[in-house]
Amino acid sequence: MTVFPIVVVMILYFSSIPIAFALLAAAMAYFTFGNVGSPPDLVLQRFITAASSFPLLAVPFFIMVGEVMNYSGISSSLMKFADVLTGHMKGGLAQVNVVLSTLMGGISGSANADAAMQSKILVPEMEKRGYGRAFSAAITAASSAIAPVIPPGINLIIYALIAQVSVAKMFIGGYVPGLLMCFALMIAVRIIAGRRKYQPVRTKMSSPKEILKQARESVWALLLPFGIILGIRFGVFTPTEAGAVAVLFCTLVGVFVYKQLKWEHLPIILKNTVYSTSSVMLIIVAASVFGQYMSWERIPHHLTNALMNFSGSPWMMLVVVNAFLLFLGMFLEGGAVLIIVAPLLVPVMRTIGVDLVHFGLIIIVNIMIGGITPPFGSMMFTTCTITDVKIGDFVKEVWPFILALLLVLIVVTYMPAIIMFLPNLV
Amino acid sequence: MRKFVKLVLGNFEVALSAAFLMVTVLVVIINVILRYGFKGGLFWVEEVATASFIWSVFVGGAAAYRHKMHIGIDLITSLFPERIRELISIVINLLMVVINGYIVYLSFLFIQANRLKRTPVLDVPAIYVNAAITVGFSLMTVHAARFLVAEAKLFFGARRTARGAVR
Repeated sequence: MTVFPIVVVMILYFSSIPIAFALLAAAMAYFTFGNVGSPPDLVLQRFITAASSFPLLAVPFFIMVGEVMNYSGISSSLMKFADVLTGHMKGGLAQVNVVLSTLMGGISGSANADAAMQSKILVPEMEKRGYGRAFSAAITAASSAIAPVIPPGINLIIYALIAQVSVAKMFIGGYVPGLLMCFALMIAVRIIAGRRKYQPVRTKMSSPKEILKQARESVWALLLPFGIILGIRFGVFTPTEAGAVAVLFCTLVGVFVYKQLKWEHLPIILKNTVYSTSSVMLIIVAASVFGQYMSWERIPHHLTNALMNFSGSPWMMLVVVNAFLLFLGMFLEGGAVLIIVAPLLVPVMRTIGVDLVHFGLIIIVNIMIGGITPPFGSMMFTTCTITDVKIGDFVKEVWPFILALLLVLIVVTYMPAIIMFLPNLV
Repeated sequence: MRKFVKLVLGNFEVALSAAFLMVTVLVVIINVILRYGFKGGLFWVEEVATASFIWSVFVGGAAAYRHKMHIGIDLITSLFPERIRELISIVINLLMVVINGYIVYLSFLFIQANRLKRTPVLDVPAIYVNAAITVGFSLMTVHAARFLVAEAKLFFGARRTARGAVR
């Protein structure tokens, strides 16, 4: 078994080459110099096949939905709704921050887009009301981890394709872990806000009438995720078509209902979509090419054997796998961890009898925690850059939230009865 | 609208990639509408959507590379003093030229090897899809080379001024 490509990836990645290119370089080196007896240009077929899957098109579509949403007035309408729901609590704006990420998760599924949007809109507002800037940045980054777990989410789709499980099951399965993350963060905020005397934004709880009024205004955004899931579940459209329809839907709502979406927003929406999509897709292509090397060397097989020798108990195995994923998440962007590692771990899980939908939810919650941990967390960088907070100050404020999310991860891992209740209904 | 035109000219890769992406989105939407509104889908939608997406991905990848949107981590490189960091950066860009250039070279062999192949549904030559690799990675090679030249200039130019200051 040759492991030099894995070493090459690590060296290149740590000398600041983007992960997609590190993977491509290592794989191409293997097929050129590794004496595999297959001409390296044949590997290029993989570049095409990896990207030419119709189900995979759901990824750019849902990325685009998130971008459209930010300019269509849907975000600000959801923010008002979050404010009506939680503004009266201690640490009101921080609670709004958490709930808003949860609501936004129901439409877009990108943690970074969510972190960027809230860093720009909510953090200045929080600072004005006496919250520390580092604290505001920390809760913004931590809560953005919820958005990709709540359906529809790009990672849920990518995992479903890798593990060959139903997208509808993954979507529905995301609700409980996502809501648990939301509650865990709200409790953490409540404790910290009580200690630091962070004040509510509203003097008293909103009346049911107020809540209903705001809910009616945000109804389009609130119902969309259910429309998508029901539509997929009952075969009205495929997940890919659901993504395309959601793009159309959000555009129409932005133009005709909230009347905020204009022609001039089109370039920026397309630009952001192109950047995010091609970054994700290049990693998918590169990981797929690198996967050629791994299957050539039968690495998934060896890995399964090694892990099985280590421990056959699913309980212990999940401890090891979770620790390994958290470790990787410290250095690698969550989506990349999922794309590279899931194909290796899925056979292991199948062998030891862990439900693959359950495992998918574990891995997705896990990699989101990596996004807010130093030294390399993508949401941490996004918020710190936009809000101009030092990484050191951020870390001092974010650890209670990391702790809260780790507790959720434990629940998600070891209480499948709660987590799998909804997906098993489908 | 004028802003739109300016943006298109200034960011030709993004614009091209976005155009392909729009095609992908639109054919899928139109197909859903046709299926439910007019009881008939289009048989070529999947192939056009995915082929167009492949172009969007590889050209968009070049755009993202040009604007440094592919994230790398500078965890270790940032530990070095500035001059050495600059040198590492030059080596990295040289490597990127080699990697991307090699893929361009292989893509010609690949296209050559598949010159008789045709796409399954529309029966057009496979080169219309496969050339996306050549175009995308050629653009990335060009950008990597541009970065390389700029950084080398900075590196050697900076030394000259530093010496000048000492005199």
